[in-house]
Amino acid sequence: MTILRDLSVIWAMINIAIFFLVLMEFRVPMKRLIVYSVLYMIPLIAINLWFLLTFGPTKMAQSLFFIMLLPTVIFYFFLSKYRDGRFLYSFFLISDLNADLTMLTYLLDLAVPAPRYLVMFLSRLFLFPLLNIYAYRRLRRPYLLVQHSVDRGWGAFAVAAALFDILAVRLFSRPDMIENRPDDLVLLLIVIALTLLTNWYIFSALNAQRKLHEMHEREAVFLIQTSQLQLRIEESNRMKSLLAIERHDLRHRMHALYTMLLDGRVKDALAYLQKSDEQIADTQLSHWCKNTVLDAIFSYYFTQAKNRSIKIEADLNIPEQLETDATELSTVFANVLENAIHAVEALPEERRVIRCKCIRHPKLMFRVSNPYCGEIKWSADGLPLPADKPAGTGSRSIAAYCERHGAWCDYKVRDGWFTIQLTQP
Amino acid sequence: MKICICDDDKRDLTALRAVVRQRYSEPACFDNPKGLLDEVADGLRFDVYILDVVMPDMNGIHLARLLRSMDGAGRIIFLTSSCDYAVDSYEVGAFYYLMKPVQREKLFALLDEIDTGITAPDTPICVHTRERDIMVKPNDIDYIESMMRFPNYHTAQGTFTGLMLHRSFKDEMAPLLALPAFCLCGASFVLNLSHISSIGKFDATFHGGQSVTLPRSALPKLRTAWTDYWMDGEGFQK
Repeated sequence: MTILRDLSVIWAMINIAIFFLVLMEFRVPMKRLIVYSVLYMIPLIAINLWFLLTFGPTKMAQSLFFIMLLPTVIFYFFLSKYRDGRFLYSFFLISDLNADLTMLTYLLDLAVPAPRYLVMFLSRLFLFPLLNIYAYRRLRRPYLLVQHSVDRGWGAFAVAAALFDILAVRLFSRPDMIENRPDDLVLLLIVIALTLLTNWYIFSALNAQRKLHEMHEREAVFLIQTSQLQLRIEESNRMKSLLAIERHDLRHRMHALYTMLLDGRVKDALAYLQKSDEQIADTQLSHWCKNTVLDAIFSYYFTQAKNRSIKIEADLNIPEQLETDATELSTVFANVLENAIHAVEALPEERRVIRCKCIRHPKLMFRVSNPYCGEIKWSADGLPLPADKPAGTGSRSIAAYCERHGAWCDYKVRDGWFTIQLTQP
Repeated sequence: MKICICDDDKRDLTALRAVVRQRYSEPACFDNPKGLLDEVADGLRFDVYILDVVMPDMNGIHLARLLRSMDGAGRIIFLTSSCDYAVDSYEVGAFYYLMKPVQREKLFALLDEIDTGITAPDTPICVHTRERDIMVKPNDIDYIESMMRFPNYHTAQGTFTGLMLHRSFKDEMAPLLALPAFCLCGASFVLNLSHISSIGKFDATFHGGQSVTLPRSALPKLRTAWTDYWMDGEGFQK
């Protein structure tokens, strides 16, 4: 029945490879990744199978680090999108989960009275794919979002996951296989349980942190929208009052004009008409685009700019319906405009200008340019640093939005102008 | 360049006609939207439609919408004394929204810009293949890929393989790279930015639906070039 053992080892290795594809992000397209994975797994499986058949399961388990773990770390490191603590934690998390499942199915086989390796084979046949399906449907999205949102602390988590992995594998196979050391069985089960609980806790804590961060962002946007809607209502009421007054005064004006023209006072009549025209212009409510959410943001920040004697040059071709969530996009625009206002208000009044342009074809593209003073410093990943006045804050938030939605953002500095350009996918 | 003006105010119409005639050919003048719509429905087409916005029977925005349904190519310039309709003008793809009274220099600048776009040369290039020489317009090319020192031209008419390159791909493509719509991506790709409908994590997709996988290191530069191309107004917005 050792054939069942060998087949279950191969099956487990294939599913572990799939698990990597499910839970990690890579630098290459999926089709190419699958090809690379197949080309890697075939010799890896062959080497591990040869080792198993030649040296037996005990030696194989004891040598797992060299014949499986180390080459797999190197292989996925070069393909992984992240090459920092995120990669290490992901790797050891996947290794932990699959090692735990491997050990549990092995122990189940020992516990159940049935032909040797039969229960192990059958349980692995179903449980490994089930784990992959669960990971794909339930874990992948939140896990990848957490990796996008949180970029620190992964190293410490990776160390914890690695230690659990080493401890569990060591308890399982050294000095010999666990079935020969029943006294260590309880300890092994405790370590497996602790591994699962610890990883679950780490993930839950990070996910909660991400959700809190998103909630704060949404709250900030709602506050802006609420205040802007209130401003809109006040402005609209003011316009209504002005229009009512205009309607009331119209008859008097017509009569006054009639009298002036009848008396031959043409110049007076023209001056009177000019003044009336200016009063009508005051009743106008300005709109910047058709989308009401973004229009509120633009109105709010353009009013702020106007109050700071900043000239706004805007050409905003934005459709009413957007492919992306307007609320989330408005946070990005709010960050960009706030940065620009902070940068420009430090300049002499004659230099204060912000240029905004947005086009909708072929994709929604948005550009804001402003002059600045001082020096802009850049982070290692090409973002203007928060402490720098011309750049303001919020570039990390914009980067996080781009990461979530597949958008991209460019920053340019040229001839004393700072430009940020955002393109939707 | 064929220009038409539609304004219900006969004085404004006459004045604008006189201004346009100073530099361009005689424009067609309509003092009501229906007259213009009837002509366009009969097959008459203009390069530029200068439309008043506030008209008694039909406002200029609605008129533009009807014109767009019949003629998608003509550029529309709105004339108005009120900016109330500025936001609506985007919905009909207006080229510009000009405030009355019209400044001659501003109008000429807009018309010159349109004229340059219409008459811009799209000089065909000659692609030498083993079977024959093929004349290809740059605007028909989606992208060119160099494979094993042979350039493959992916165009609207199909894919052609040129003769073996005896100099670098970049040098060979220099005439195309001189055009604003073309961008070198990595060492083996030249892409027509105006034909790209989207750029993904690993590839670029064209209007025809086909996509090409590109070197990861070259994608950031391509994204920037593509955005700059459209934002700087080089692209024709449909």
